[in-house]
Amino acid sequence: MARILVTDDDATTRQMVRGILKNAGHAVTTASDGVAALRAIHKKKFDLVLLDIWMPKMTGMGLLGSLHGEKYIPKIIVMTSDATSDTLLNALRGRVYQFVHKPLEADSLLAVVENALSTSPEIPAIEVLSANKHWVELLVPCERSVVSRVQSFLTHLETDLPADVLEKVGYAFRELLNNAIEWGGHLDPNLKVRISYIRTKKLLMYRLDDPGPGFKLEDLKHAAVNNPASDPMAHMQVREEKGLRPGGLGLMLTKQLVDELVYNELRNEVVLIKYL
Amino acid sequence: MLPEGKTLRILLADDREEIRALTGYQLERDGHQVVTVTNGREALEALERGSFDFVLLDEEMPVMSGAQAAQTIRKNEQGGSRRTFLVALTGNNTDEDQKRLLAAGFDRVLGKPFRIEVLETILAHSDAAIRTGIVPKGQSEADSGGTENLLHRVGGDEKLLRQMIRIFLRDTPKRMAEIQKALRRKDGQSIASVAHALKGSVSIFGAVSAGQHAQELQRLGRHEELDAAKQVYELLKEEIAKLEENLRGYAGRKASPASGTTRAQAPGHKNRS
Repeated sequence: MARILVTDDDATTRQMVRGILKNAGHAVTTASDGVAALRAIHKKKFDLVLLDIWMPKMTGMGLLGSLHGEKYIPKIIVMTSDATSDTLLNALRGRVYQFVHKPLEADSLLAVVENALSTSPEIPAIEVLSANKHWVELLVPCERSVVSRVQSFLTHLETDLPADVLEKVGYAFRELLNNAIEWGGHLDPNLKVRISYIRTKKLLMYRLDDPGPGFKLEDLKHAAVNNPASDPMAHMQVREEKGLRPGGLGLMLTKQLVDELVYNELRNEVVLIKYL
Repeated sequence: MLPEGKTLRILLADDREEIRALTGYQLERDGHQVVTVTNGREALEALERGSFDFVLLDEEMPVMSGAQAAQTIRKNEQGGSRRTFLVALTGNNTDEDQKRLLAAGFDRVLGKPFRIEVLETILAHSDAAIRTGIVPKGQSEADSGGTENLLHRVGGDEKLLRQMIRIFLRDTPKRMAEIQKALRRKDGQSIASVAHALKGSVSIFGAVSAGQHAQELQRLGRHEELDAAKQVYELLKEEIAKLEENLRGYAGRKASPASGTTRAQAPGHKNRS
C-alpha cells in the first residue's frame, strides 16, 4: 500500500482516480488545486503525487516550482490532456517522473503507478541536457523503468503525428533503448545512455549513445537478425540460456519499422530516422 | 506486481509464431505457466484438457477467430460455476471494436502491440479480484449502449462509475452556467478555464463531440474570440444535454448482475441510486 496524493480541479476525475487507486489497495488523499496540494505535501509524506497541470489558484507547474529545493520531494506523475511541448519540457526539468495521458483509463494508469512505486528512490534522475521542442537531449540511468518513462514523455511531444507512425517509431525506439540499457549499460543505474531526439519538418530522428564498448553483429547469437533461415526462433533458446530480456526480435523488427537505422563503427551509437 | 511465487496458468492463442514466442517468453519470465496454441479451435481443445486462470486470444486467427472462441467458451460455461477470464488482443482498438469484443464475452480488450506492463497490471488486479471474491466485470447487458467501455475504463467497478456520474451530473450544470456568465461579461480567460475543466470530465465518459466543442471553446476563449465562442457554446450545450441524458439513463438502470459487486449478490439486484 502506498500513500498517494491526487490533484485535479475536476471532481469527476478526482473520484475516478481515487476509486481506481483505492481498489488497487492504496491510501489516497485528494486536492482540488495547487495550493491545497502543497499544503497536503507539507503535512504528510506521500510516496507519489498525481498532478493535473491546469488548476485554479496554483497550477501544476506552479506546484513543481514551489517544491524545488525541498528536502523530500515525492515522485510525481503528471496527468496531461493538451499540454504544450513547453509545459512538458518544463515538467521534465522539474523532475517529473512520468506522464500519463487523459482521458485516463484504469489499466494503463495502474501500470504507470505500479512502475513508479516499484522503482527505488536511489536511482539517479533523468538529466535534461537540452529541452526545446526541436531538440531534446537526455542522459538516463541504465535501469528498466526508464524506458516507459522516457517514452511517456517523448510520445506526448509528437501528438501531431498519425497514430501508426507514432506506434512504429515508439516500438523501434523502445527496442533500441532497451538494448542500450541492457547490453550497453548492463542494467547498472550508475551508467548512462545519452538520448537525442531531433524533430524537423521532414524527419524525426533519435540517436542513442550507450556506455558499452559496442558489439559485432555476427556475435549476436541472441538476436533474430542472425537466425538461420531453417530456424527463425533459434535466438529464443540462446536468450533463454543467457537469461535475457526477450527483445532479440527487436533489431529485425526495428529495421522494418523505420526508414533508416545506422550504427557507428563500434556499434555503441545508433541513429533511427523516420521521414515525415 | 503479483505476490512472490504466485504462478498463473495462462493460455495464449495467436497464429503468428513470433508473437507467441515473444509474449509467451515474457510471461514465463515473470513466473507464469504458459501454453500456446495457434487458433481459436486449438484454444477450445486446450481448455477441455486443462483449466487456466487467464486466456489471451488474438482477434484475427485462421480456423476460428478469437471472438468466435470467446462466444463458445461463454456458451460452454453457462450453468456452471466456473468463469474463465478472457483477454482479447487486437489490432483494431477503437471504442466500437472494444464494444464488439466485450459483447462477444471478453473481460478485457488490449490493443496491439500491447505493453507487457499493462497486461501484468490486469493479471495482478484480476487475480486480486478473484482471490477476494470480487468478480471481474460481468457480461454486458445488450442495451448498455457503450457503458461497458466506461466500466472498463474505471477497472470494472460499477459503484465507482455511478459515483462519477453523480458528480458529473452535479457539476456540469454549474459549469455551463459559469461559461454563460463569462460570455455575458466578455471574460475570455474564464471561458477557457471552465471549458478546459469541462473537456476533462466529458472525455472520461467518451463523449467525443462534446469534448471537441469544449476544446474549441477553450481555444476561442483564450483568444478572446467571443462571437464564435457563443456559437460553439450553443453546440456544446446540445451535446452536453445528450450526454447527461445517457448518463441519467445509465444511473437509473438496474445494476448488471456481476459488475464490481460480490459473488453473493443476487442477479437483478436493484442498485439504490
